[in-house]
Amino acid sequence: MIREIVNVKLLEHGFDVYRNVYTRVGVPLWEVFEIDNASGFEARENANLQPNPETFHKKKADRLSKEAYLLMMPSYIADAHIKGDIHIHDLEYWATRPFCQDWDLRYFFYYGLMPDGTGTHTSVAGPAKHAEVAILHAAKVLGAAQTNFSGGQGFYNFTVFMAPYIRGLSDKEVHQLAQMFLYEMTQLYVARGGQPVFSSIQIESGVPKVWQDAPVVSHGKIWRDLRYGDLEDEVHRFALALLDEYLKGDFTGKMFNFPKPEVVQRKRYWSEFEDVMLKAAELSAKYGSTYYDNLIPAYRGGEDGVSCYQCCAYCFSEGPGSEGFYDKIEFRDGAHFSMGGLQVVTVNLPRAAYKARGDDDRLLEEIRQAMEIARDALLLKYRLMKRQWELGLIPFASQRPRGAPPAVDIDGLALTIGFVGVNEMVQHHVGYELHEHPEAQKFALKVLIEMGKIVNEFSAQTGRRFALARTPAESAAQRLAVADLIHYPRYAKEVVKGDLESALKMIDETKDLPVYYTNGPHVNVSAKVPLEQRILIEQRFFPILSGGNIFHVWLAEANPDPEALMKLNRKLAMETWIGYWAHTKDLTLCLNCGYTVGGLQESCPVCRSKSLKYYSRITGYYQEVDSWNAAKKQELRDRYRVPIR
Amino acid sequence: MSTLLSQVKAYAPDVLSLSLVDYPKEPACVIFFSGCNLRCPYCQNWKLREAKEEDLVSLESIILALQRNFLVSACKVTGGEPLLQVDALIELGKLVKARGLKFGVDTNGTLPENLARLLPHVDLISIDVKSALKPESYSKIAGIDLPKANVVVKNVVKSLKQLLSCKDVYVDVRTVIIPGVNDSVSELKSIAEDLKKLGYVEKAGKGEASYTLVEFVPENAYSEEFRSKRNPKVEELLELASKIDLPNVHVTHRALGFFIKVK
Repeated sequence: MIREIVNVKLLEHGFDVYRNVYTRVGVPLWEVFEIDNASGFEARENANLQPNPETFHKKKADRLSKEAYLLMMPSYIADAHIKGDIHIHDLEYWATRPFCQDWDLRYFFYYGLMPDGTGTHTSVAGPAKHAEVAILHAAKVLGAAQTNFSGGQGFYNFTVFMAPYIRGLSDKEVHQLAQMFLYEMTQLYVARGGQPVFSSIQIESGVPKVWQDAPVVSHGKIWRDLRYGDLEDEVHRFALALLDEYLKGDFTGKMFNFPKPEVVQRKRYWSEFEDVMLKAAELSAKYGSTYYDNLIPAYRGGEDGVSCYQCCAYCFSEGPGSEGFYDKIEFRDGAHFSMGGLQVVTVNLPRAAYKARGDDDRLLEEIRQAMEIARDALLLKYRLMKRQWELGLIPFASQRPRGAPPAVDIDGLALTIGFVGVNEMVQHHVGYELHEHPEAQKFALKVLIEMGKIVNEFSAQTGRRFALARTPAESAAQRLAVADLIHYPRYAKEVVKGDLESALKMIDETKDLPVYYTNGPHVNVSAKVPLEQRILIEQRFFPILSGGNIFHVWLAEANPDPEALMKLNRKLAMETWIGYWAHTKDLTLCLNCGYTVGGLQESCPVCRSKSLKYYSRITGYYQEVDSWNAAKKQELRDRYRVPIR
Repeated sequence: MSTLLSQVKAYAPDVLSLSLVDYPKEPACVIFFSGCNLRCPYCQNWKLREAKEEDLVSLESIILALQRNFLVSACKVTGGEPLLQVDALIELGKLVKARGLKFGVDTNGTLPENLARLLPHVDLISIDVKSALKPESYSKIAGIDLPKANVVVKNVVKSLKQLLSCKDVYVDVRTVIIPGVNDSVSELKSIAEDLKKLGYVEKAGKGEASYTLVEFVPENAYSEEFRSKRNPKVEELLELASKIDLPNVHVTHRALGFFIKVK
């Protein structure tokens, strides 16, 4: 009571900051009850979370943290987030965790594993000497990493760095290893509340040019007489075995939704390793789970660099021009690659268009202002993370076993500015959606090129690494659309996608509404545009984003022919600028007979039961549709699929 | 060429720009020709039964759609019964092949003379054998009277004979399996016997022919009676496939996949 009186007085006298410091955050008991009963606060914010005791605990912590962090940051940033000019992702982890990381397995195969990062609270393992141990270490690295990071965890070059442990193994043993890894990654049910690690692995079919002459690092040593180029056969066998195990699915025939298999596309692989490309296509045809990481277009840096396109489809790359590149390739004094993002802040582009009232210059000015707030937020995040880092409070990431360089290069993590609703921005500003008129596409490109320039300015001014990227926007696409229906109803009603009528009826009761903005620079998901035309529109955005993007092929029902799908992939890889794509196949799982079948079926085609569960890809990963938010469920209904009779 | 193209017309109401389940192993563009000479109660595309005035388009417009589509490596014509418009089909085939694409046609096999004219211009023919090659069976399954069924069966046999003895054209013989109608082992054995007599085994031996059991999908069937029937289970199709004494047998089922080789 006294606290509240003091706080009111502080506000009255303009001491907002002190009021924030002295206030408390809390949750009404009713909300606690709701959360413990799987409803209430952000019950569907992240489809990867399923109601369970760990999740309820996380939700309460999330609720407190989000409220607290908004009070702890400068009010102009917090206000911009609350009003919906920008969206700060994973706000619950704002002051404690960096975002995502693609790990270098060599580090752990050389120094061993300490899951707590210090070796005080967990046992410390030496470097793996056996294949099974190497696989288990790899799984535990990602599990431990997820306790330090808010977003996706992956291994770039996974098959190549595992290759030394594959030597001398029979095919059966290699398959067993692959199977172990998939089960570990989908059954380590302990991350961020009860959920599997959000994981990905880069599957190379052979050894990329830059690794050919690099010394092998494994079994705790740098091999003097063994180069990765000598292990191409092992890499190839392991890639095939992994895809075989993905194709089998789990004990019940359900797909492995993690780790996301990212099959690398290189020209050489299409001539030498078509067997891997065919298996990747079979996996797309069966479960839709393959992601294609296309290094063929020139803007991806080609054969001389190292890059990843991980987790939520952000792309990071390093090439011979970057600092210490060859030390990292040769693992000199433990030098290694650490690629990832520190934080993502998304700019609400449609709102900038509403404010600009048709004036081009004003639109760019509005976007710049929102980006400057995003920049400030990201720089603040960097300072926060740097402090936590130096205090040893992100211990797995900052670990330095035996005087090694830190596992993660905190200064190298990208500060990512994302965006949603390019389509709705041009729809309002130009009068056409992206697929309706070339003018709309031209204008969208112009805006994104300008945004790229601004991001480069930010990097030059601050010496930090800023990136412009598509945002996965699982919740942001909905939250920003809903915010605009409240603050800019006249304009927003004209362009938001989804079921506007139902949304308007419910808007006073819930914010989980079936409306959304189109993700990143994508074409309206319901536009009846043939695939080849959507490619021609969307591919142009890939080269201009320094971060990643994803192209979705929504497959309609039925099982596509794997060889036909492979040929389609070849075209996408060789003849387009698409840097990353996936075929999304909706799946129906019959709860009665256990059958999994393609398409969103009304009844099971095998036993005709109507007791069904649906799975599809939400933004960048597969999950059960029930757990999606209302907007993403609506988007699933709206998707125009490649029509297959 | 453009004058010629704009003069050649076809009843083709729909073009599907990309399909991964219509041409084995190739991403294909599918063109739907309207008009059919049978009245199968299980038909999925019965809306294309009549060739309507508004369906008439110039080949030029079809080719333009194909030109823009860099994703496909094949073009498949289905229907309706495409061979009713054999002149347009031949012109289309020439143009498609000149573009370096493979050309395939679905047929019910009732027009052997037209088929003979088309053969030099195609890479793939998918031909229906709807039931045992007997007038009684065909009359029921194709929705026609017995005298007509008599003629139809003779023509289907003629078509099969031509196809199974020709060179350079892949032939997929298909039977849509409808439980309780044509799914008995004896029925399929009868089909297999006839195919053997017509040269199937030799052609399959060269890797140029296959026999495919296709899942009947009740939801879109033409007749109400057939809409109330059930689809065959995967296991039933696989069981039937195992009992057919033919090489190169495939199965197509939503819960299994398209054109999956069984043996």
